[in-house]
Amino acid sequence: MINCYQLNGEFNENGIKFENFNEIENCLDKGFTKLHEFPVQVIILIINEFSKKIAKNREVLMIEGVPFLSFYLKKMNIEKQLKLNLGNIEFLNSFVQVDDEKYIKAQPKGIVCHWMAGNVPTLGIYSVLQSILCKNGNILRVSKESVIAVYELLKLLDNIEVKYEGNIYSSKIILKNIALIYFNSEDENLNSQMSLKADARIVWGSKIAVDAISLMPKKTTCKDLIFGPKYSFSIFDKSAIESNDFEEYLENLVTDTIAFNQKGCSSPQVLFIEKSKLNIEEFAQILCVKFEKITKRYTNLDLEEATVAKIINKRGEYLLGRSKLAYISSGLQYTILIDNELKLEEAITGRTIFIKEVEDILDVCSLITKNIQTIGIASKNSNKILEFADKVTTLGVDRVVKIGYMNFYDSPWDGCLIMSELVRWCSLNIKGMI
Amino acid sequence: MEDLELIDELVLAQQFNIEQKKKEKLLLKIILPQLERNRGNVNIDAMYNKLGIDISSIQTLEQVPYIPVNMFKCFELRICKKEQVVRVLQSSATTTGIPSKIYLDKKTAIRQSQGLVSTLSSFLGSKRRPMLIVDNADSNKKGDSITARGAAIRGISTFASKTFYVMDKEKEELKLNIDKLREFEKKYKDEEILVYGFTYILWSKFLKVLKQEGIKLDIPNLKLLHSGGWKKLISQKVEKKVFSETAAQIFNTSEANVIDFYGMVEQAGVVFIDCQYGHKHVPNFAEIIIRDIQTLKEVKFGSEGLIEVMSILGNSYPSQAILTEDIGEYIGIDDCPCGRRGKYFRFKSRVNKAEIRGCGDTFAEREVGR
Repeated sequence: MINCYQLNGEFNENGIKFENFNEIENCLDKGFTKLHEFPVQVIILIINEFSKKIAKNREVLMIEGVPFLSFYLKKMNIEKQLKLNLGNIEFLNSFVQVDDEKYIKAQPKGIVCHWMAGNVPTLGIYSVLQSILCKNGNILRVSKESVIAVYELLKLLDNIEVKYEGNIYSSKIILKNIALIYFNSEDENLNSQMSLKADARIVWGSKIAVDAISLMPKKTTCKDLIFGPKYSFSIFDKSAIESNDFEEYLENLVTDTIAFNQKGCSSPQVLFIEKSKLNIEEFAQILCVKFEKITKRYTNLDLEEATVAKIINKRGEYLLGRSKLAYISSGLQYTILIDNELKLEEAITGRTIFIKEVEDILDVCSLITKNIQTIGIASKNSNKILEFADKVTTLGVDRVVKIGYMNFYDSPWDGCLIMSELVRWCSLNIKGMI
Repeated sequence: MEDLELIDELVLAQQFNIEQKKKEKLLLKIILPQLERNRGNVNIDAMYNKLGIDISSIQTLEQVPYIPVNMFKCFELRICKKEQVVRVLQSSATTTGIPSKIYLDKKTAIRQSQGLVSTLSSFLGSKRRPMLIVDNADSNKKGDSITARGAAIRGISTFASKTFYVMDKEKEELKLNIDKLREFEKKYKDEEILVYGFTYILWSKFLKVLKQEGIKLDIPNLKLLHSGGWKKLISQKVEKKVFSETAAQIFNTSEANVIDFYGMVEQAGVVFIDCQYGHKHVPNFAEIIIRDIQTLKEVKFGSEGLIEVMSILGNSYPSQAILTEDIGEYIGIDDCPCGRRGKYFRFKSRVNKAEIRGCGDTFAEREVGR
């Protein structure tokens, strides 16, 4: 059974039950034409107002990741992202001349189906609004854990009106192009039905999840954007460790580690530090102080039992192991584990970071695979950063960002300019005809 | 120095009769010197040093450093000399495939048996009686190493005047021998008897088989003790109530005679048996601390957390404080209507190992190749 929480611009907090996607598809089809008539500038203005409403809503701001979301949705940023993705935002409104009597327009794909992972609730909003900017209809299937957060956020998108070139436009049209739903992820029939409705499938999640959806039947014209499992880590070079900003970098590392209970694909699991005048134990002790300071602001740990068991066992392993070190809080506020094996460790999450010392930051190149998404870096040496970024991205890394920014959603993501994939690039070529 | 006399007193004397405050003082007096001795193991010494443990400043049992139960799978946590080991207890290695190894010297093995007898006496009395064991005799074979099942059978057999194994082994599969069972029933149906089996084996190889075959027994004066293996039963959606009802029906006895006890191979000798009010009580020589799963501090009454089991029985391995992967509910202290003193609790479940999986879940899928 499908539980539908928002359809046709109407919200229902208990969810309306549907057995199949027919009604949902009908509603999206109706909304689709009207959205297509919106100049993209109108959508940007509505999203900008949405961002303002989020910024004013204290309750919603408490949801993890929402303050950054509000910043991300500002007009200036959205315009920047669209330009980066499409080159010229006018492609979304009309045929734009690109050559002698040759024109290009970015037409919507149609219905975009989003399967969202449960670890980052705001991801659903990023995913669906990028698709809306491309004027697509959307079926947004969120996890059980994220329903409330996404519902509360979408509600703020209601009742927005903007004026553009003398006309008034309502956000209702945008909402009419979004169906917010939940159904059991193991329901093969519903997954299959949803998949068959899609002109584009966006899947965020674990290998099990993305594999399952990828195998579902789909239209031959359907485009897949798969954001499967990824791993991220941080690195501090000597110049950063010996700089005056060192402690600030550490605080940023803690912020990256705490966000989303460290379950994001962009959450750091390991920290590599380049040999410097500070030894690894001194480093860890200062990091403890930073964890103590920052975790006071984030008291609600809310760890799952499974994560707790993993942390306790890893702590035990590092405390009892003779060649390993552990710096831990009395509760499970943070766990710092040190050893000298140059490898990536299984993500324990729940504020658990492994620290390993390397002679040179380039030593980590041997660990890079295409599964590595983000490296959060702290360095004062821009040439070194460029050299490092070039090497690691050649080997498979998608993003190298300054420490503290690892979990900030950005474009490109996972090596993909998402909005450029959510349109059909259509051409009109009439050279010499008229 | 360990206070051996005090240990003997706590292990051998009547159980469940010391008030909590006094008990904590007595246990601390024994445990602190034991912790000093634990330092003889290089791994434990490393752990105490890393945690900055000053044993002399420990003032409560809650402050005693605990060892996560899985560490018995990763490290050789032996305190005594190798040549002093008389037996190695091994867990069933269900989840990881690696068994826990618990090294017992003579002293520990004796204390564990004594502790078990003292505890069970409080529930079974001291009379020996015929015992039906729902297992195969191989589980309790003599040797250097013994499984959790074997250890439990051996311990409870202390209360047996005679033992009868009712399961045959066919190509490593346990199969109920109905003839042997009928023979036992015929001989002892009017006597007080004991029945013991591992919960999972009792259910899947015994009760379920008898139920399917429509066989009912008539041995009403029994005490059926069972332990271990709930994880598999919960996955088959068999709840404790259903288990007890089925067992009572098959044996033609009352549900009150079906007794579940909680224990683990890493703390052999320490068992927690349900009293008539459904509470699990802690013997005088042991303790439990239910720790909050976020703060790791002891929870308040009515709250749930990880069960830490403490014991003074270990002379050859660090039994003083072991943090389990079981969830319990802390009910109260000293005031159970059954009259037993000390802490009492309820076993709730094994830790739920299922996690919310998201896009950061690479290693769990072992997908790290290029």
